[in-house]
Parts: sequence; C-alpha cells; structure tokens
Amino acid sequence: MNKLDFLEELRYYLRNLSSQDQKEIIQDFEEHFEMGRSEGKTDEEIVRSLGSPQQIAKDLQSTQQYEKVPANHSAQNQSPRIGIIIGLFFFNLIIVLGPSIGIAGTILGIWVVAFSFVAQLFIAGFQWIIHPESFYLFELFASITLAGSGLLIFIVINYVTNAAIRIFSKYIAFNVRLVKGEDRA
Amino acid sequence: MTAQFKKGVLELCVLVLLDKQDFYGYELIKRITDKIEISEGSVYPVLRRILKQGYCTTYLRESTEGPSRKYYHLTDEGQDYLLELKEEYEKFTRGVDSLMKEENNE
Repeated sequence: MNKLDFLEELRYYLRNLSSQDQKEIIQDFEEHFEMGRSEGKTDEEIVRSLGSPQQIAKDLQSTQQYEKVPANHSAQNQSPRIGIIIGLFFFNLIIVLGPSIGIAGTILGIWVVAFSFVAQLFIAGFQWIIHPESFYLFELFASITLAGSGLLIFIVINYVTNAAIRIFSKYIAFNVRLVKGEDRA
Repeated sequence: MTAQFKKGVLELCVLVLLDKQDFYGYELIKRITDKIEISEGSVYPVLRRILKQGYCTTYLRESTEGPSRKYYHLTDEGQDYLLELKEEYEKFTRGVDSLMKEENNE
C-alpha cells in the first residue's frame, strides 16, 4: 500500500466526521509522510509502521464524543451517567415495565391454555374408562381436535417465548451498556 | 480491555513527553516508539483527543527543512490531568506488582 492508498482508505473510514476534522487529520498524516520521506523512508515502510487505517479511523471516531465535554473532566464524567441511570429508571418504570408484564402475562396465559388443551384429552380418556356408558364418540373427536390444536399452540408459543427472551436480554444488555458507558474510549 | 489499557498508557506517555517540552507529531511518535512497540498511527488519535479536551494546544512553526510543523503544547488543564493520570497509573502498577509478588511467594 502506498501513501495515496493509505490516505484514501483513511478518508473513506472517516467519511462521517466533519470536513474540517477530516482535513486536519489528513494534513497530520501528510506531514507524517513528509517527515518520514525526509529520513529516507519509503512510503511502504511508513505505511507499515503507521498501522491499519481502519483502526486509526476507529480510534479517531471515538475521540469525537469528547468534543462537547468541557475541560474539567473529573466530576462531569460521572454526572451525565447519573442522569442516564435516573432517566433509564423512569423510562423503564413508566413505559417499559407495564407492557412487559402484560406481554409476559399473555405468554404465560397461552402456555396454560395450550397445556390444558392437551391435558383435557387425558381427562376425557379417563372419563371414558370410568363411565364408558355416558361417553359419546363425538366428545372423543372434539377432545382430540382440541389436543391437536393445543400441540400446535405449543409450537407457536415456544417460538414466541424464545423470541421474547432474546429481545428482553438484548434490552437488558443495552441498558447495562448505557449505564456503564462502555463506548467511551 | 487490552486495547483500552494500551490507549490509556499511550495517553500518559504523550502527556509526560509534552510536559517536558513541545513536540511536533512525528518527533513525539519517534520518542514513544523508541521505547514502546506500538503502531505509529495510534498516537494521532490520542493527540486529537487531548487537543479536543483542551489538554493541549497546537501552533505551527516553520522549519529549515520541509514544510512547517505542527507543535503540541501542554496546557494547565493538561498538567493537572497528567498529575491525576500519573497517580492513577502508579497506584495501578503498585497493585499489579504486589499481586505478582504474592504469586511468587505461594
């Protein structure tokens, strides 16, 4: 990779920074190449010791979030996080908690329905054994149909439950990430 | 963690050097890479970060050879920050050292 390739790649990965930032960064690297050349290094050598432009761009992107932060760093590093925690707490309490309980309740209810649909087949069978004289074939078929649909509901609700758990754990992880502020480099 | 850790230490190195005198980017990088094995490109993000946080300022100075160079100068806030970082770093290395000693004694 030569100088142009390097700068081109760097520019590509920095494309969402402001043009002012991009210009300054590219200038820094132009200067670096100039200095390296004056020491008799080839562009390839300079590029090799600079490292991956993608990684450099990633590091540069993470500096962006410091821009709006005022100079006194020790106290205010904590305060926005406390704000996030309080905000998150009330958001979860007011907006997320109710619907979550509702959805969880619905899912539980459907499980119970599916289970009872299947279970009633055994009860029907039991009844047939004890009181065969008062048992109609129609009831048996109705019972089997119900049990069959119970099994189908099982399949569907199992899928839905897994999806709900996945979404829920992702949401929890997202909350934890927000609170920890992991994106800060 | 490792990348994060390296970044923190690198920031400390940059600040320590700038505390002694003003440097231009290339010279600063050479000083660091003489002692520590890192990719040279990773120093520029650190410089930009401390610049944006107000820990240093830059100025251009003509040089006898080649184009004018961008020098970095540590501000008062930068010096305060350096003291804080140094303290943190020393506490950290002391902790690691004592842990390693404990390991050896067992």
